[in-house]
Amino acid sequence: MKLFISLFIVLLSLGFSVKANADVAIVVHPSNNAKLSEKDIERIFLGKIKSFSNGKSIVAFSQSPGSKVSDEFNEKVLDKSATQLKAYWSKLVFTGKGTPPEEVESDAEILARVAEEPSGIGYVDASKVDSSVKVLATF
Amino acid sequence: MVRKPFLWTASMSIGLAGCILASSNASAEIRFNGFANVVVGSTFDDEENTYSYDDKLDFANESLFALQATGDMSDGFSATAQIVARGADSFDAEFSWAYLSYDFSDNSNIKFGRLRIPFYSYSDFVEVGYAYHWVRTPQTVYNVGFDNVDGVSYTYSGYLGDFDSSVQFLVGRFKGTTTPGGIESQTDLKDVMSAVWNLTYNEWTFRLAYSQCGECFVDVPFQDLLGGFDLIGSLQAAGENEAASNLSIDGDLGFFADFGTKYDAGDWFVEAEYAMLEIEDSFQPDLNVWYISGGFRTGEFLWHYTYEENEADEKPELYANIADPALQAAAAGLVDAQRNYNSRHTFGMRYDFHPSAAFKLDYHMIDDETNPDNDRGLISAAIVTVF
Repeated sequence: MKLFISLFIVLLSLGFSVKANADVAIVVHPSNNAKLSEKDIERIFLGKIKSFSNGKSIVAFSQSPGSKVSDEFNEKVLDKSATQLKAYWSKLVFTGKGTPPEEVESDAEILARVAEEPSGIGYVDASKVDSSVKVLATF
Repeated sequence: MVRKPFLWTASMSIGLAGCILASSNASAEIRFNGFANVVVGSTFDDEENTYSYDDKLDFANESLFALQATGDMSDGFSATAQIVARGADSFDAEFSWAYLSYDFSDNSNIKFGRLRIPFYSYSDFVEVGYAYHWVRTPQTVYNVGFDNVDGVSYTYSGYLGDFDSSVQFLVGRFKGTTTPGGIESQTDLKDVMSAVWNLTYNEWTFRLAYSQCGECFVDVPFQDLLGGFDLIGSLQAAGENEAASNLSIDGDLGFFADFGTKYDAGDWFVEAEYAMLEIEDSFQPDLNVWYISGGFRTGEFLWHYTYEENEADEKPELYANIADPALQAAAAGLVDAQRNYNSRHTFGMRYDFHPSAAFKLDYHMIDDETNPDNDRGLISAAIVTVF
């Protein structure tokens, strides 16, 4: 029992994490005139909203879990840790209720994919935004 | 709980998987996903048996591997098969889910085929250990002996202001084996239907579910429960047909209701679930079961505690009118043995040591109020993953 308790204390002390803080920009194709609230953006990236108001199916992109910008986005917009988000999607994937956004590797790749996909939406480090995309919101 | 859904043979499994794979040559895009749980557990005493564990480490009992293939045709059509190999079945693969799905719109979906019956909050993903904090869901509540039906399910999701709301209706049939009274029995549940309403608002989730089978047939081998004595046959021979029928599960109405709620603030959460189960005119006890569970997260660690209560009330009215004292005593023995009051505690932790995998450790205790000699404990650990 003593061993058990000391194991718990050691594991507990290992568990505190560091928080990131850079702004995240939500980007869409320049032709996209959608107006989205923060709640709408959250619902899009949780697979609850599947189309823009013009009826086009949304193509959402996310970034690799563990990357600084995805941690930032998950915390500020989705209010979930990377593992909570993974658990959330595993509930939908294995019950046929949804498919997570496609994961891409970098801010540059998000910009490239969104620039060529009229129904695309993604998030990048706000300092990396260029004129190939339109910024909907910054968090 | 022993999971024994209706088996499809392995060759059929491979056949259907082959069909889905073959269709990739046409226009469908195939996605593969999988999950696995490796669970090890042991009791503390060789006299004890808890959830099929004894005092020797067992690695197979609750371990499982699953692979899901989804073929997306265009225009909202898709086909999904989920094949699960469970250690309890010697890792023989079988279909847990196999359905065709069609989206009428973004909000509205219909599925045909083998589906999970939505009894509980965690029913749909009860085998995906990665999706929750315990090694196993609370077994007082998660205790109806079958998981799947073959049928049709319709889901509508939408918003009520800031609330996310979804409703699901399902009809179907289950044929296979279940274990009422702890003994494997051939089962045919006809006219199964379920209705579920799920509501999410920020940190809150509420879920209300009702399921029933219009005609439950369970061929319980009563002789095996009663040391070889043919109670049903003897009652019929003595002209007690009504009593015989009231003990048997022979076309009776069974119903199940479940209410679940959760508050998840991110750093901590509390959730609870209450369920009741009744099979009318049968020896099965009336079940009232619930649990409350809470925990907090520190970085990659989650620490939790769960309290459960199990109330199984026997039905003495079933044998009250049997004239023959010997037969009445035998029926009373069967019916009264169904009474079971117990409470359970789980202390546990989950450590997300990898982006797609977690380690879990649970210590579980059962206080048996009906039979204090039956108090027992169980320690279990698991590695769960999704891929």
